[in-house]
Amino acid sequence: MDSEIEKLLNVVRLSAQITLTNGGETYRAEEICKHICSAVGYDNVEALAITTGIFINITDEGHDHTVIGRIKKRTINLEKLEIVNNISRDISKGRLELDDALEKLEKIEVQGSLSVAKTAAIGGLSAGCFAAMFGGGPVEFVIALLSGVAAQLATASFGKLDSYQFFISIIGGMVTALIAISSTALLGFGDYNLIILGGIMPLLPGLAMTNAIRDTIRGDLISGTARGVEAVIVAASVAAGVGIIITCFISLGGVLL
Amino acid sequence: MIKQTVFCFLATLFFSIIMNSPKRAILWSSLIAAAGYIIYLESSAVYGELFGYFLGTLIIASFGELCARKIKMPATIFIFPGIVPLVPGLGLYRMMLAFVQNDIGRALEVGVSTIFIAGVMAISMAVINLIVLKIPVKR
Repeated sequence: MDSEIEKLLNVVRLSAQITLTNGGETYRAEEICKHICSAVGYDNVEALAITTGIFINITDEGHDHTVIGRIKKRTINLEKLEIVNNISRDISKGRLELDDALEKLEKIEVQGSLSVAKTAAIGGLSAGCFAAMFGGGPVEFVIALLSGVAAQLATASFGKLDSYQFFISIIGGMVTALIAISSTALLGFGDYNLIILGGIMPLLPGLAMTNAIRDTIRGDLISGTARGVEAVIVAASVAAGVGIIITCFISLGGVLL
Repeated sequence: MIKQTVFCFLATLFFSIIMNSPKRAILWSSLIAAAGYIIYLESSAVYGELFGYFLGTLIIASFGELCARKIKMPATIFIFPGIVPLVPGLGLYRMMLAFVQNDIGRALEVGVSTIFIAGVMAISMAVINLIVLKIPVKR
């Protein structure tokens, strides 16, 4: 195989994989592949991206060169999306060589996201602000902040085990509801509804919903439905996690206000 | 009203930080979220909840696409954090609460309205997306 094509295939496979792993739409991954290839001079390119994998085929002088990439993990890291987008634009404008691009892509592929402590702290603040947005006072803000921190810590520690998405969501919902209900019951005041609501907002599948719609509109029916199902499952899991705790509370003799 | 919008802005700001949003995009997506939320609040008070969600999402999606063109970043980076305050968490939670209290009738009622809200938001985003697809992109 021609070494240039090999390099090109590596670059497009990595860009598509990073895009899909970090929350990009499938049509974006396909377009990035096509743009990069046509910038280097190969216009006969077929790229098929679905939520769980990418297939790229370049036809050059009658020979087919194919590469397949599997997407095993799906997280959200918007910064990586932007970097890959920039790399693809730089290549198609001729400002970036394939070697440099490959080096950059390999670097950001392993680059981590925020530390767990930072994520927990900022996630807690976000949950607190959501609780306040729904009309909560200082008490609700503080408890929602704590439950947000706990939920982020719990989901992060289970996320390391590569558990299934729905399991993480159930845990997140449970931790939020547990802290909200037990602390309001102990304190004797505060509205646990607002706290739970604020706490679960960051856990809800906003990205899956957005991408489901964007993919479906472009005709990527498989990815659209996959994302849609993901959104429904995650939302139902968070709700189920909250439900489990409320049921336990009621059956233990607690009275919901 | 102002308090809700300010907290919506802050909540989205923190949320986009945990989602590793690029630094240049954080402020814009939070502003978009606040704008969408205030439109949702105002219009749902006048025209009803569903229309409020429609208009709010319309604002978020169109400004998100606009920012994506201006700042040259994928539109998802702006639309996804912006849409989060509008995602019908309240309906979902109320449905669950009614279910565990064995009030199936109310649970279904709230559940259906939540599905309607999600559907309306989807249509709204789809409308903007279709319009945007007609405008050629300068790469």
